[in-house]
Amino acid sequence: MIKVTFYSLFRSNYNIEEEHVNPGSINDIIKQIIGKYPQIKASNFRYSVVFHKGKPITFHRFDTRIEDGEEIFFTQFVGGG
Amino acid sequence: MNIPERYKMNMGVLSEEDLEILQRIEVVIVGLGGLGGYLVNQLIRLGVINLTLIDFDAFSESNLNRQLFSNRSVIGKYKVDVIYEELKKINPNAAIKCIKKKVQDIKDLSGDYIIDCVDNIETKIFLSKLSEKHNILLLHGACGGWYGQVGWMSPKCTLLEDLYTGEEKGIEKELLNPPFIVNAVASIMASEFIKMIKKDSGIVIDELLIIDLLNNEVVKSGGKSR
Repeated sequence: MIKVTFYSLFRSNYNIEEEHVNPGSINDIIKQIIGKYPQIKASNFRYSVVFHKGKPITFHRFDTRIEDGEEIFFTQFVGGG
Repeated sequence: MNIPERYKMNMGVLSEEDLEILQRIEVVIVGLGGLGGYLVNQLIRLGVINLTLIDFDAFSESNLNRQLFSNRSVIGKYKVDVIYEELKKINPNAAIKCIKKKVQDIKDLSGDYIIDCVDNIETKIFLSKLSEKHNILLLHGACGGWYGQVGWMSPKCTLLEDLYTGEEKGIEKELLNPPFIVNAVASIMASEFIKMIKKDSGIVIDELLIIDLLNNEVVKSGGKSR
């Protein structure tokens, strides 16, 4: 299983903090999360970033595969000043 | 060292050596809007006196919600000009250089640190590459809605490129930029700046401090809660 932690908007809007899902690409993981929490809008993932081993993975690379036993977390990235 | 009265209230966290460093270094601040205004206000009060301010823009009415040095009387005036005058009122001895250009158009840039206070992703990526080109540490900050991120980037670090490449906007596209997040992120940038001067072990480098004011949470991108 993969441990998924949620910060920022997911925690604020949907009150989810942690989930355990099956291995797969980040897109697969998002599908599993939306399956468990249908109230989450898929569009909320557009400005989200996954941190995996300290490296950021954004929307365009959500085909990245996460292996069994690994941990990731979702948050939002910002670019304003 | 005879500590000037103006800095005495800082000396609980700064040593005399720290203050001497602050007065010796040259700091380049790119972007004098929300983050840049609050940050430069803190840096000059902390003791930084050699500053290069880079911003091509003028104040507009939409800045009034969050930009420290904006007010109705300065709308239409260049931000660097207004802020130069305000900083000189705080410390007339500061050596402040103003550049009214896009940072991409500047040929010669020198300084000990570059600070990213810009409001667009393209320029943030440019600053990361500029940091590598000049081998200068970059202090990154960004904000939007309830959220912010701060971190030092060493010249070889590609974290910002990895995060931003292919993107045009972050969550600020939807949540915009209220004043409290701007002020909070700028203050965290100022404290990270001081930690760098002090070579403090708690410094955030080559990762991001992710700030969530709605849930009152701060987490490092490496995954450790703080």
